Amino acid sequence: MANPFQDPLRFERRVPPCAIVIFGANGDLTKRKLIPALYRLAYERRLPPGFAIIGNSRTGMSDDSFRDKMKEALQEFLEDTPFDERLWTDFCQNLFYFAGDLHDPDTYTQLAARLEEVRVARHTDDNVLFYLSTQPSHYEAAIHGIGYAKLQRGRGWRRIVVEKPFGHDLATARALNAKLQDVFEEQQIYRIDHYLGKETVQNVLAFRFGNGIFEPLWNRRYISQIQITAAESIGVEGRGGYYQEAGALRDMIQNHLLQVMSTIAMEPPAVFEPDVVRDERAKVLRSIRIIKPEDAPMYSVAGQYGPARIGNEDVPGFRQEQGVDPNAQTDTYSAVTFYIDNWRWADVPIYIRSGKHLPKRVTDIAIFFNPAPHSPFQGLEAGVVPTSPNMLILRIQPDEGISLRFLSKHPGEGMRLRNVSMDFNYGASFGARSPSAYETLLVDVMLGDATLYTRQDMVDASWAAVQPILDYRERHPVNFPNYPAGSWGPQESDEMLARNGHAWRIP
Amino acid sequence: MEAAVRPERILKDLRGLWVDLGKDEPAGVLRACAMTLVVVVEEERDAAAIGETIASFIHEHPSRAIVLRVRAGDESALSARVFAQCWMPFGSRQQICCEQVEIISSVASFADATSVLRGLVVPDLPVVVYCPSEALWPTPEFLDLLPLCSKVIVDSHAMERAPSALSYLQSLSRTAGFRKADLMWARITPWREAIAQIFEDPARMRCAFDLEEIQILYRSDLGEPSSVYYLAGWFMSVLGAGVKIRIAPGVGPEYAGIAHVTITGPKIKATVDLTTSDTVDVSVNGEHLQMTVFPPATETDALRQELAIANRDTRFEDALGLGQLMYQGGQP
Repeated sequence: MANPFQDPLRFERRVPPCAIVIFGANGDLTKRKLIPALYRLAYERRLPPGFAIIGNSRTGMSDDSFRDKMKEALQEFLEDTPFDERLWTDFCQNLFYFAGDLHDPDTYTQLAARLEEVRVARHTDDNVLFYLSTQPSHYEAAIHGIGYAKLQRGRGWRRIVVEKPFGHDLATARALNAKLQDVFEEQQIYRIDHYLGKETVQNVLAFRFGNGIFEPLWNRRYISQIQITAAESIGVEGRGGYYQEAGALRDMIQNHLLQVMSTIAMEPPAVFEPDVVRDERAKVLRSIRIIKPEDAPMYSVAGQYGPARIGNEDVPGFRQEQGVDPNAQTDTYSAVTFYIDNWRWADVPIYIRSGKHLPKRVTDIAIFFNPAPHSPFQGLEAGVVPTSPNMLILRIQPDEGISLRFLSKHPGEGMRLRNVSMDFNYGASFGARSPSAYETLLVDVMLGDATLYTRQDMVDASWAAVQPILDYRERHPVNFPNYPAGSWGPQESDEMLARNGHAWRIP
Repeated sequence: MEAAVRPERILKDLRGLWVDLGKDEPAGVLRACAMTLVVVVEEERDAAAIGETIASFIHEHPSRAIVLRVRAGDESALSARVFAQCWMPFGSRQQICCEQVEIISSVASFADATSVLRGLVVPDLPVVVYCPSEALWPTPEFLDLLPLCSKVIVDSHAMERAPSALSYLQSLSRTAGFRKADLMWARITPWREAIAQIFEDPARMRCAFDLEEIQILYRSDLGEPSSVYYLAGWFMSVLGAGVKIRIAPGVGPEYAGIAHVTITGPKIKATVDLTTSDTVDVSVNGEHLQMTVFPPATETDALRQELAIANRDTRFEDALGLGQLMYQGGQP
């Protein structure tokens, strides 16, 4: 039975009544992302009247203190949206808090009681979303506790959102999954990868499968290489302690960028339904060529930034950052050549790089097309035909958009050709504010739409793809630092592409 | 002698405009266009206000905006000028620009102006005609424009006898290829959303199918606003003709002309009550359910919403048909 008053053309999708339990409610993610996204949804009138947020952490706090804290966070981290005191007054009535140690069974007994209270008081229909926003080391305790108190089942739906990292490697990812599946069914588990919630990543699907002209070219016959770049211009910004345990390969490539790659390389789904889309993504990830650990130097490069002067500022090297081991072997830069062994992509190198303290902040995907099989302009005049291929660039951030580079005749005499760019700029065509990735993904999980969430087989496959590189690096320390902050990474990275006759483009 | 106003001349001026803009900006400018937007207004209407309205939504709906200002009088002269609306997106080094054409005609030369318009539409993109000036709607020149367009938008907000807008829109040929819209319908979207929200709850949703009476209280200095008939038509299209709809004047603040809605059935009495000019309190069976802040109900916001609807809006068409019947002869 559907609500007869709904108007999908003009109304936003409506989420059902529910309660969100945030474990780690005193943490950074809650303050910077979750509460601003939920407030923004309230501002857009997208939250149901029957709605509650129950925060948990170990810090003792009353509901009112929690509300005050969240108000402060909102005022600090809310972007693109004014803080409305009246809306806050109503919104904060939905916020509740209880202190409890995740390792203490009593915490979950208390939680069950709070859930029952809000079900009655806030009409949440016993629909509950658990959000693991804690340190990953507490995941297991929280999952176990939910199972202990049998909170994974109720009269309404029960779902759990798990933040990355999903494990530290393949083995720990599988162990975490086993714990999750001891308590929850797979369809209740939502593994969040906020990159998939980005509008521009979703637009890749629209671009590929909504248009008829690109897909026939989208294969090894016409495409010579793909480059995916996720560059940050900043360093670890006080998160050195955390980051030195992760590194670029684990923090960016294994999850975000392999998900982006799967979006670029997947086959067209028959229908836009969660499992159909995820099946296609999973197939791509499972088709990634698994290299032998000893071949890792051929296919990957690790880098770590050293001190440098950028502009008029001295920038410390990674090992000089606060909380970082002076001998850390952390990769603040990683570049990997992947191959997808299927008919569509056989032998097409897909280069992925991600790093900190690179010259600019940019995330994009460049598709390089083969040159024309024969150019009638060759030899007309020396140097008139540039050698650069046609290129399609999908810009994820900033300046979100799509550019197609092709050759055009230079005005004037003779057949002199020059590269020109045809640009689509997201901001120019759709000036409206795009929802943040967290807004999109929170609405999706409350609606039970898992299209933009990752599945365990996808997580396994992406860990399996990088595991040989991790194994090799574990046994072969690198002489870090090997690139100065503010450069495009170590020279070995250029050499990796040069072996295939390719070069990194400068985004 | 005045220069002739011809489409090719204006198009040439537009080309020159882009060349000049490109010269002035080291990074060049980006031309954005997703539709032709034709705004037809009487000259009395504040020129600056129209310009500001277009400027405020053009970045969301980049268009070749053609403003046709029709002034009283029988002079045959026609004048035109071109210019660009540019903005620098945050963090970008390149300006984005949309072109704008302003044509001034008299009532006598209105037909000449519409003939110029035909040559100015951007090929292969939608053409939207917006005419807030009620006096121009029945003119043959305006009606002559309609076959050009994919969507015609009117605004009955400030009209006397506003509900007559429903009759006008209904009278436009059903078989024509364009879609029709009234910004008043866009203005009541927050009301409809707040009402729909009540019935998201499964138990209350069951009550939606046997509602008996809807009361809509309006507040307007110009008599009944068209919004009440749109809302009434919407209720009828959703609930069927069996539901009794009462429209009456009310007190207190109004939003899009509406002050209060009460929905009554055997097991439910829901009220959506405007407590300030933009805040509604939703209650069900005497219990507070939700407070909602409505967005501004300005012409700009309504246009922004309407321009985003590219497809046929069957909800509006149904509400228009039933609302008009109710306006003409009471409840159908």
